[in-house]
Amino acid sequence: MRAWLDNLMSFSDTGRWKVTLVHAGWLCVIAAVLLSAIGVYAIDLSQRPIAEGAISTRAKTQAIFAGLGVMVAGIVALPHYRVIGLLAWPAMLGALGLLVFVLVPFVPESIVRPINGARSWIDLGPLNLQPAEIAKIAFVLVLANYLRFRKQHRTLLGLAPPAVIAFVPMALINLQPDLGSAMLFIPALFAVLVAAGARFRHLTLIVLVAGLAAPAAYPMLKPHQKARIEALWQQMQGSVEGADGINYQSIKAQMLAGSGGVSGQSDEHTRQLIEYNPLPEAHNDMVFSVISTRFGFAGGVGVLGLYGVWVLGALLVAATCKDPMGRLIVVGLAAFIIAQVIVNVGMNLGLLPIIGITLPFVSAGGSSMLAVWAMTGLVVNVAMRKPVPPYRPAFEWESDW
Amino acid sequence: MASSDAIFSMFHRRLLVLSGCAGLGVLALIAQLGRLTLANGSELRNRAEARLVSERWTPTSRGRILDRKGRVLAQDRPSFSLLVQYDAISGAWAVEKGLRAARKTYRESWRALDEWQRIPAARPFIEAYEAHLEEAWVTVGAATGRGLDELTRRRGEIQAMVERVAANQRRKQFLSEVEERLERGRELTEQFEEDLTKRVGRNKVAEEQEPHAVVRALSDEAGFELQRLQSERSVVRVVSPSTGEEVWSEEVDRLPRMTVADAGDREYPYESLDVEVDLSTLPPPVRREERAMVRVVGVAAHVLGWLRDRVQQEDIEARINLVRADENFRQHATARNVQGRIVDRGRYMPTDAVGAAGVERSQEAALRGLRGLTSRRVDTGVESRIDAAMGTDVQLTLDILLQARVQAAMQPEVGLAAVQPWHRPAGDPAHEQMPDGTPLNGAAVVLDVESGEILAMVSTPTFTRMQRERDPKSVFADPIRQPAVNRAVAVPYQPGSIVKALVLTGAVKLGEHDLFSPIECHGHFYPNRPDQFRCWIFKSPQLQTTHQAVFGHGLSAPEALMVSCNIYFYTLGQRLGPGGIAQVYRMFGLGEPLGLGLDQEFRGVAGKDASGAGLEMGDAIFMGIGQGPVAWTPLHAADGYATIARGGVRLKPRLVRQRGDTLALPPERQELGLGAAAVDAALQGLDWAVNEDRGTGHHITVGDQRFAHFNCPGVRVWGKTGTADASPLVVDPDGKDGPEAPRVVRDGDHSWFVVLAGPEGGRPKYAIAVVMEYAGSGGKVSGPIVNQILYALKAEGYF
Repeated sequence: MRAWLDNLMSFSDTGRWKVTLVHAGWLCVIAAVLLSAIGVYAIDLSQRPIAEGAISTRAKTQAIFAGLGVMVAGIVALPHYRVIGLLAWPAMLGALGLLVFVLVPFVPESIVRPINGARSWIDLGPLNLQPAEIAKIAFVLVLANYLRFRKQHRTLLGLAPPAVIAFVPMALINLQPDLGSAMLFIPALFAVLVAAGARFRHLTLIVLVAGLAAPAAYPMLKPHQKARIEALWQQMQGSVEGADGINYQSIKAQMLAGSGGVSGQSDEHTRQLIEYNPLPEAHNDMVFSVISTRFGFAGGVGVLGLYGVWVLGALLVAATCKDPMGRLIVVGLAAFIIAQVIVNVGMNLGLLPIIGITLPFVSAGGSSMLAVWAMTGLVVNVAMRKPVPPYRPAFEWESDW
Repeated sequence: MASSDAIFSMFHRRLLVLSGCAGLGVLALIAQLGRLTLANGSELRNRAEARLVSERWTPTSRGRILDRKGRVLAQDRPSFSLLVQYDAISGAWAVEKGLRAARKTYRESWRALDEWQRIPAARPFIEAYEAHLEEAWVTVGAATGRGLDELTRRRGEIQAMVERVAANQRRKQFLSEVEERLERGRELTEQFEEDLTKRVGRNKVAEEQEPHAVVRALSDEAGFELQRLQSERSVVRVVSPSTGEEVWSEEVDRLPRMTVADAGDREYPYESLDVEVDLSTLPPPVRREERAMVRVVGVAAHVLGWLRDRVQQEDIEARINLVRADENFRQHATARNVQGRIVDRGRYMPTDAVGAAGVERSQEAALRGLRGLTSRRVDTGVESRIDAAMGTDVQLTLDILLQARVQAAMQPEVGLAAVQPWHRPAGDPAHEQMPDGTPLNGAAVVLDVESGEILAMVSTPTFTRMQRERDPKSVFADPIRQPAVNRAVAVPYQPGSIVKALVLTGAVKLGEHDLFSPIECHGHFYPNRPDQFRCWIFKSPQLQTTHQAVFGHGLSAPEALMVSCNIYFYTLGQRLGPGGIAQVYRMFGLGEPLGLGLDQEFRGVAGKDASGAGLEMGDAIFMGIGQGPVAWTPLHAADGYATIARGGVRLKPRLVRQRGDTLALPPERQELGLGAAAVDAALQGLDWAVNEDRGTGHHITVGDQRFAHFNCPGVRVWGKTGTADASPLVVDPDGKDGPEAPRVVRDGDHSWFVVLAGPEGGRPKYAIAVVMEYAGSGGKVSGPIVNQILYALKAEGYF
């Protein structure tokens, strides 16, 4: 049994690993802890108009999930990621199964409760499980597992299998409908392909073709999606037309974000401003605006900086990792995190249409909190395990193009 | 591998590329965050904080309009109105509430329903709210005593109005967006049109979001009763039809979306008056030895104007411009709320009354009151309070009782302003359109010579506020009587012979005529053309003579005025020439804006177009007797005569005397330099014209009876008659496209009489001008009315 496991895990490697506790993965952990704490505070700001009294239920729940998240991260960090890699395909199949399950029309609403019209959540009592979050992690593992020793992706046709791996969960998530979450797979896929040495000319070609095809795809969007894009366009042209309608949330979010000024408002004043300028989803998708109200430009940049620290930590882990699978796992996870941050903050600040993407570690939501902590655990997992030389170079090809 | 090689590894290069991409994304975020917080931070903060301020406005009232003696002509009276939000008028409130209740009741399963399934599912909920709303209307009907039918009718009217406005607005928006798209060179697709229709349909016009006054002028009892009901709550319940269980209940206002507001009704205390007229002072054919009470209504309606209760976008913009443009006004009208934001306390709110015509419109800025403002920061509790300030009173130069007496003299039932058999010679074709007894329309202006103030300004027929509200067509769309038109200032009339006194002084002033050289009247102006430019005495079928024959010598200036000799003034017209005659008219104010602030003021014109250009010698000759391309109003006529009475000093007539405690600036004194000799000659002529037996304004002849125009004891009169060409009034009863031919409804000349009047032995104190439309001879119709105005002045203590 041991031999079989060793064999599976090592392939052509020597199979010898060293475990270290001094690694860049701690940067991710530190950033994640700070972000989670800020999140709990920001959620409380959005929930209670006065500071006195007990912390709000939502913030309390969030704190509990942050604690659970740390535990999940610890659990995820313990077994060798190659063992976890063994679970990649089963996890993917499981996630796909759940994604199909939420779409099944006659599943009772006590189990799959549509929120804002999307069937994205499975009601597990204290936790609303979002299968898309599982799918993200499974996707990264499967892709890393698939690409680690191959070189087919150096050809144009060879890019097809990774694309298919991405496409299936994306399609299912899009049917919920949750186009925003589905779209996040694209930067993750690209980042992993770039890291794995895919030729730039192929990737550029794909981006160009997609760019040209995008206008043709526009009519296929749902009316509410089109309306949001049109509304954003309207807003960018300086029109205040939708201020009471479709752009209400965006304009309110920008107003609150801007009202923080350089260094933000006092705790009490922030709570009052949010109470009298009700912002839908302030605790959730729009939590960045709350942070900017409270801590201003400095605080906003600080939070973005913490994500920078998380991503920097992950990239350092990838840079120092010699194992191809470990490298790709870390790059894929970092891509998901940073893409999510850019989209979420972009929609808070009126740069992108509002499409229901949470801010990692900060937005209220148990499922999402556990998922991002699991990602952090995976990064630490990779960081603490180093193969003992000799090993062959990973993803070192003769030309970038 | 050496660590320095790491950067040259492809994987590490690629990590740098990826972090570069991420860095760019984050930089964009930081830039936008900086834009919002650093560049726009304070503005956005103000906007966010504006919501922390609760503002409560306290009502104010509009300033009063007073007459010259301080009598109140218009004032606000406390009065309750029932204001109802449009969604409760249209019933949309019940639908929205019902859908919301259904959504809250069914929660999960509601979300699963498609749009079209929701309405039937919500039906019982909607019906419950509809029933509640209906009951509220019944309650209102009972409390106001108006009855459900009247309320339903009124709601229908409001709904029709709002729908009309909304449809218009949406059509406009639709067209402008289509146009914009086409201008950008993009095609119109079906999809685009469909989306646009939907989008435009979602936009609500202001009228759909505002409260509307459903019942006005509520009695105090009804107002208090509704206020009491307004604070009551009741419960809307929905019972499941299948189980009989209560599935929904909500406490709502007993009168949902309705408020009772103190709307401050405007009242016009002198709108209707009973005036005593001494019928024994009338000309013999209509004289009776009694005093009659004459009811006059709509007194000074044209001058005072009226309010409308719907604020329009233009009002809001005009107010903003006013506050922006005038620093003093801004200081007076604006205040800072607790947040430090500057607010205009006089800004329009949806149900405010706005001056829509007359002085109510032109003095809007002064009359409009300033609301009080209590603003409170909801977070800190800091409060600031500014008390309401009533609008400024505006005092007019009018004497409302004199105005009423003048109007009484012009009431057809008195007999002077109705066609009489002796007004026209037998066989005059005008009898056909205007049989005996037909009411005559006209205008009268009384000016105070010394100050240029307008003491009375009457236009008949007039109209009442009630008539304007209940039957607007009879006021605005009667093509013959045209009650809405202020004939004293808005209608161009040819001056006719009354202008001769002005032409005389003007010609002397311009050096074109020697006052002491007589002019011979041979009946026609050109020696060899007896068919052209004839004198009236030569044209007249009975007289057929010349003034040369009558007097035996060439006419002096006063003689020419006395007998209104056309040849004398044709000659002056010729001597002045086109440029000179136009200059004379301009000297007396033609072409200058009247600036009274009334509606549609006609500024007068001497020439073929507004610039006064394009005149030829023939025109100049005709304009010497007030015919041809020249038109003015009764106000111009009175003003011209007052100028002569002042010895050639022109004061622009004015209507507003005082605003609040501030006297209106005295009008600029414009010295025309007419010369004392010319003025004396003109006054002499005007004296003879009405006081000498031969004067054209001395008496009326009916059959073989003669009686003098003026019989007011103790009053001295200088004056002149005039008969002015008028184009027939044609009315097409069924419009341009209808089968019926247009029909002449009024024909004949306009009748003028202008006088100066003063106490016996004194100088002229008042200038009076009267014009009666299509009334024929100046002397016969307007003269007796002027005589009654003299009695009116005397009765009001002006002599």
